[in-house]
Amino acid sequence: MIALTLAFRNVLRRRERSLLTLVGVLLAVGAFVAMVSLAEGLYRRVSLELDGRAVDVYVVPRTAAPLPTGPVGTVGLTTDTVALTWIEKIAALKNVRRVAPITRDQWTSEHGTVMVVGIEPTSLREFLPSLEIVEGRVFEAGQILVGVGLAASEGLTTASSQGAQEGLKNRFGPGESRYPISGIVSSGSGFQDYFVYLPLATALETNARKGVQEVWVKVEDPHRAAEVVQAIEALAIPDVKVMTRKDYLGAASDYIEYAWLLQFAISAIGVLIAITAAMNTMLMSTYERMREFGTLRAIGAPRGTVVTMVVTESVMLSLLGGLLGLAFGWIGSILLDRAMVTLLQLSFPLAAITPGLIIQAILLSLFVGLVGAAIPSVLVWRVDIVRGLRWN
Amino acid sequence: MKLELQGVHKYFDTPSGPIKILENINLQVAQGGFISVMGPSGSGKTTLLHLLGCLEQPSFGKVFLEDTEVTDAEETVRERIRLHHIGFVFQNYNLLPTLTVIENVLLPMQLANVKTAEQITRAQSLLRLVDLENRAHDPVTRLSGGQQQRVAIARALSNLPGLILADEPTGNLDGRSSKEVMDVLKSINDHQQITTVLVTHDPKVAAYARRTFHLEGGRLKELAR
Repeated sequence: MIALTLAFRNVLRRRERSLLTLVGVLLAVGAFVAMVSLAEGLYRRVSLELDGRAVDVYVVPRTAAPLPTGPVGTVGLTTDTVALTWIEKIAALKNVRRVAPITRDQWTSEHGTVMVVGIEPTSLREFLPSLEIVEGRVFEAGQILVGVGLAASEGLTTASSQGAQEGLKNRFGPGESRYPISGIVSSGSGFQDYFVYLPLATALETNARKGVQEVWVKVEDPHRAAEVVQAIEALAIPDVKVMTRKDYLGAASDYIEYAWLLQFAISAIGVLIAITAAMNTMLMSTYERMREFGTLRAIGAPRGTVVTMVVTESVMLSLLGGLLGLAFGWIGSILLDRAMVTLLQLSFPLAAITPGLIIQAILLSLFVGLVGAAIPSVLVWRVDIVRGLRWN
Repeated sequence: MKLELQGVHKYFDTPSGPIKILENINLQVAQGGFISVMGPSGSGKTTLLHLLGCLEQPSFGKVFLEDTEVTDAEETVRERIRLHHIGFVFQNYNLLPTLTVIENVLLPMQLANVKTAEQITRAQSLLRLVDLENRAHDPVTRLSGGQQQRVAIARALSNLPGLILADEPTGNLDGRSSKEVMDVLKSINDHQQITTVLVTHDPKVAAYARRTFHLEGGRLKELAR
């Protein structure tokens, strides 16, 4: 309690210096939160996306990136496909319950690029159980489903609703080919909320393709998914990779890890500056108060109590800076997100301030405070009482 | 508290060799005694006080507090002795400037984990003793030098010590404030029988004590009254 009182009073003693340190930590934590929120948002959406799928084995072209969105800009972009002739052969394998060929395309809207998934209507519920129809019904040939997020941003509604009378559009598509919207779906904040779903036959017709970008496989016994992978590989389909769900998630996670590391590395510069600022403040404060520390030791305060005062002061300043930095980072995250969505022409937001990120930010503030107090603590621990009493 | 120094020597090591500060000091003070130590600047008066206060250890010899040898006591033991049994009064007061008057007096009691209710009662009583009860909640920086030194005395008495060590307590004060401070110290010694060792270069201040010693060339000599 004494340490807390003395630490608090000392923070107020040199307000300008305390304020500058606070601002340093605020900026560092804010930058960290803003940058890392992009990776956190990506990870959250990827997790929701993959958790919402009931796919046991993935067959994708070797050159494709295992991203649940499909290609993002040029990341994962490939023209390679899996020929349709292989679908029946995969479906005939032992332990395969169902096969869903999937196409992926991109449409351009006035708000950015929209991901378009071609899938058989009967496969929707089987392979995407988290996708709920919140308005309308499943598509038929020549119709589409749109995600709830996309519907909100583009002002879309179903063909059968009265929303059209209120100025909402009930058709969507690239250029002249606007498809009637049969239903609006929601996955609970996954990427799917920003996708368009098109019947597979319509997708294949539109692009005159003879192949698909992905083949999703459901197996009878998920514990034997690895055997199915081997069986598909034995078919020697040219230029594909076959992955279990776990491998697919792992590969997708690698991309997110790189994004996280890159953003952390950039924000680390700010963190280092914050640590330097905190340490400078604490060193100056410590040297100014050597006589106080000497007096406290002289009247019987243990070393630990005096060191606790120094650490408490540093942590108090940095935690306060961190909490303010969270607010600053939240604003920064919104701005960064808008910039990234515009740059990559995305139709979905990327950034998310997750509970995990908030905890990381608080721990980071704590870390800055502790490191900032390290050298001053050593000085105070080692102070000779008599020398401290005579300090000028 | 009884004090005793037996054959105490104190040297400081320097690059050019050891410097003698105290040589063969023998001193006995009975419980309730009031002694003053005078001497020129640099004669080792403060070092003597530090040895009695367990802030430093002698190069040779023994230090006894209440018949218990503390010469080579571990640091944690010496901390406890200072906290519970010794009160310091410094020339520069050495109050904590961010705390109020009463908070400075409470500080040793908080370090000693005295119960809160008792802390407040005792602090108020001590401030009454030094006639500063009505300034309890003022920041110490707003007090005059004499008032601050009286707060320092109240702080020194906070844990009901058996020994007060005062290092030039009037060194930074004018005549009137000096008299106020010394009257308080004398009164405490007279009424509470707390052993008091006072270091000063001022004969008028030294005269408050019942015994006076002179320290020069590292040697201690009692002056006749």
